[in-house]
Amino acid sequence: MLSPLILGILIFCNFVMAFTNSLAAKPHNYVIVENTFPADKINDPLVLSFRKNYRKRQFQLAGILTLLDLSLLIPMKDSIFMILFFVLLYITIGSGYLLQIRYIRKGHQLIVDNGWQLTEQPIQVDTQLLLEKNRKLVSPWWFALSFGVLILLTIILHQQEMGSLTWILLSACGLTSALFVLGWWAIGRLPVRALTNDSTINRQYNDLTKFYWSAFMVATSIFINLIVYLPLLTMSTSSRFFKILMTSEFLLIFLFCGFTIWWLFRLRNNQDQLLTQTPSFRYTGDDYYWRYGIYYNPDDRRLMLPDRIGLNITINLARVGGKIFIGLIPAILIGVMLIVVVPLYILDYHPDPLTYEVKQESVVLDGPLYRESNINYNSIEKVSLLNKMPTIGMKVNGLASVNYALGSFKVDGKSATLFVDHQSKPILKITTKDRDYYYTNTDSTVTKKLYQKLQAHH
Amino acid sequence: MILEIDPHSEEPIYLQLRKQIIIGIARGELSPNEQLPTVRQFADELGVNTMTVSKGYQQLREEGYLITDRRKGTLVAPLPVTPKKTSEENLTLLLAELYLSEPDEQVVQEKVQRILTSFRKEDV
Repeated sequence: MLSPLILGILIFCNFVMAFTNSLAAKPHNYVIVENTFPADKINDPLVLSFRKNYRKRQFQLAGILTLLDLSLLIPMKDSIFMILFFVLLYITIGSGYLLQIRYIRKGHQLIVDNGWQLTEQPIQVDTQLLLEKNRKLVSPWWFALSFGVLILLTIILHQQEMGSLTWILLSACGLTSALFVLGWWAIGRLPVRALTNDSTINRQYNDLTKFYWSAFMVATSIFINLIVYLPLLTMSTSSRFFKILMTSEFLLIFLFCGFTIWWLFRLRNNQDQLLTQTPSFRYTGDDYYWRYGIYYNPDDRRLMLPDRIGLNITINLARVGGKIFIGLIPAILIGVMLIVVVPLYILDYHPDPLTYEVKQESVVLDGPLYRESNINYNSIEKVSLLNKMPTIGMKVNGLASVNYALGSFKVDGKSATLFVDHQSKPILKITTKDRDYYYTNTDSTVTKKLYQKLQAHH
Repeated sequence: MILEIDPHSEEPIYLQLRKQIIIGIARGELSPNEQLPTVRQFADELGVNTMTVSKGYQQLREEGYLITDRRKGTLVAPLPVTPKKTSEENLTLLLAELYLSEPDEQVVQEKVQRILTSFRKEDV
């Protein structure tokens, strides 16, 4: 049941990757796949076929990866399935990147073969423009709206007695909003970097960058808070409101994604439109630093800079901050894989993954990579054996697969801790005042034995 | 005014900055009391350390071409600036170099005249 869904996600990822990567084939500032071409050669038949080929290869790659992803449909254990899923995801990311590098080289070769190299020009600094470079930056006071929304939502959530969740969310969302303020500040510091010899066009080009990006930072910080909080508000409102709130949540997500794409493409188009108005173009020799599809320039003090597709702000990887950032990405990817796969692997292959220990005062239940539960005998109200697991309402945290449920859940409206192998029957249920515990050992006779021991203590 | 800074040049960036600003003032591309970008704005633009730019600004300030205003930041100094003792020495050396490569005095004088007329007379 799960595998077609995950397969669908992977296939979707393949084509999204192909689409985003092939955006580099569309010239922006005369840059195609990280190579700057002379303005009059952008529509040369050789360049057109280069662009077409790159785009075609990206989608062919997506097709091949999709075929590879079909291997997920082979029946296999959960842990192997998840390992395969992550490996396929890494292959998607890695192969898209390799293809990009191959075409960066091809593009460079095309320029060299035809003698289309551009002369490097010094950096032009217009002192008047520099003084007014941030005149179109939106006011930072707009962020007050974002923090206001955050405080309002926190108060509403606090009244619904969500407990510690309120504070965790407030700090997480507060920190996210602060990052957007930081982004706004970084945009203010972005250089003008004149692209033409026409100072009016340079000024307009810079105004566009500053306005679109700073406005984007403000809008995103407001959107993100709303998107995070809305589902939580639905949890305790009446079902009448649920429909309205759920619809608005999905509308908000689609609106946000649509807005982002539309807004950034608009910026890109407006800027390209400006450049067509002047024949002069200043090339500052950046191609060399972009030759691996990422920006690496030890002589550039900037940490953040606009990328060359014109739809993103990227990071100079030659700087310490950039190195930390790029190091975090594989660490996160591998970390996520380990967190998901290791417990599943232990559950699948350990001879006795779900254990218990009967102590003097209490019984301790334990499962792989999950905090053990210590239940005092005095707190136990009832011990029973069930032949069928009641319907699990919601996972709070932990792991839930077709075969296992491990962690904190809501069962029949009550908080519950589960250490359950769905293949093993019966299921031991320990009822306490605040929380229920469900436990199975892989071996059903062991489950029954624990039941008898607890009965004796009770 | 419009400066052109080449980060890959042999000439240090702070010297390129100093030279172009002095010529800019002489040509009238920068007027007295005109505001200049802050050290940070300049450094961000060139992708260099703020120290590099501030070294250039500091030198220009010591030579009297720039002044610091508490509210407006760095401004172009009012003209004329106080003459430097070494100026004549430097000019002698430059003219000697010109004279040695071009023995015809007429041509040298025309060259000097052309440069002088490119400067804006009413301010200097």
